[in-house]
Amino acid sequence: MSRCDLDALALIALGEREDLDAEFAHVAECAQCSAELASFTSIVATGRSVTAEDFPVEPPPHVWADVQRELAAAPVVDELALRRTRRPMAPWLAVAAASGLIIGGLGVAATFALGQESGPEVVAQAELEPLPGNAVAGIAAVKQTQSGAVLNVSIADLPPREGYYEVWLLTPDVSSMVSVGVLADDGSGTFPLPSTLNLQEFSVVDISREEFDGDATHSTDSVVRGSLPT
Amino acid sequence: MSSEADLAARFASGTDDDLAEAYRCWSGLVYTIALRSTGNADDAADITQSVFVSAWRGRAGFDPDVGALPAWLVGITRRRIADHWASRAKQTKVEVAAMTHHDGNPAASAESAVDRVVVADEIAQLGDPQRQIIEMAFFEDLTHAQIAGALRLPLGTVKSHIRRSLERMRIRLEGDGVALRS
Repeated sequence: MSRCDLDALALIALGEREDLDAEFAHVAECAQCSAELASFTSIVATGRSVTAEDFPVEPPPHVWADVQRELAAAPVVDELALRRTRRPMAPWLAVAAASGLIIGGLGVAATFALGQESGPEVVAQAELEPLPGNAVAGIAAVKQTQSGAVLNVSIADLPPREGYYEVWLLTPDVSSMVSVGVLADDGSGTFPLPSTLNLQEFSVVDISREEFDGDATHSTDSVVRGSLPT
Repeated sequence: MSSEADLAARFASGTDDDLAEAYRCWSGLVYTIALRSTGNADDAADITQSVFVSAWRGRAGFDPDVGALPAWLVGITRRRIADHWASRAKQTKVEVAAMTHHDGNPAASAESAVDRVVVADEIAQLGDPQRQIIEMAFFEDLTHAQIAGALRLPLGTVKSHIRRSLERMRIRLEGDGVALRS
């Protein structure tokens, strides 16, 4: 046999040997067939370890009710707004960011005050766009300083209010979040980021309205949001 | 009833009906993965709830061009199971130690449980005679010639069904890997 016979490889993976001498000889010399055989063999091993209990059974009926109750109780975010803000960077900006050429204040950040222009290198940034019902926008930038990464946030014309504005990093599916701090009255802030925080995972910058109500969790009332490039 | 492909295409911007349909199609898969991974029905119910709540809140992040909807859901399930073990490890180190002594690392054995349930789900979705063939090959250790004799099918038909069924399982297993990175 000089060609790849996938049917024969499947039989070999299942442990058959009879009348397969030519196929065995071919596999020994063919990297493609060896890889295919290894893949089939792994699937057969998993398949043969399947027991009756592994076949899917329905969850108890209360689980669906619990899903609906949880979703009704806490409409955390407007996910369509989240998707709307997840916009690719302009190609030149992506290239510049990838090669580490962006200096703080250059690029789209130029229209917003980003703090000390001669300061540390911007390694990632996100335009913060308003969620429905909000009119403000801003920018967030991750900068590498001598003492580690910081998140620099600036929101223009943030309306004063009774409570405060809190800055969060969210996972894109909003399944997890980290509070990084509270914005100053002028809508700006610089927040140290722990080196252990994975920005590939917590890539969405979110600003929420919060009350002084003793509840440390996200109010679910987000003002602006934007995605750092991952 | 619309097809699973239509549901996947609608899901990212979907309505509550789409969530209900996704739940109807795949809650069994998610629940059984959680049950087999944790060994506890209450934990499995909690994980199932959490997976569908997260999936719905994060549905804008689902891209049908990147992977199948069940693969995406299985990816979220894997993360919830990992979270479950991580919080267990913090809460009750002794209990986890007791669970690990016979079966190695609980998180690692949970990973293989995910693969087993995904493969079982794919077997369950095969029509006959494909399902009969693969069950005879996997669980009764029959050769393709013996299967062909038992089912009165041509040898070539049995061989190609076996190969195609393995390929379907591979797509399911690899698809979950893709979804994991989403």
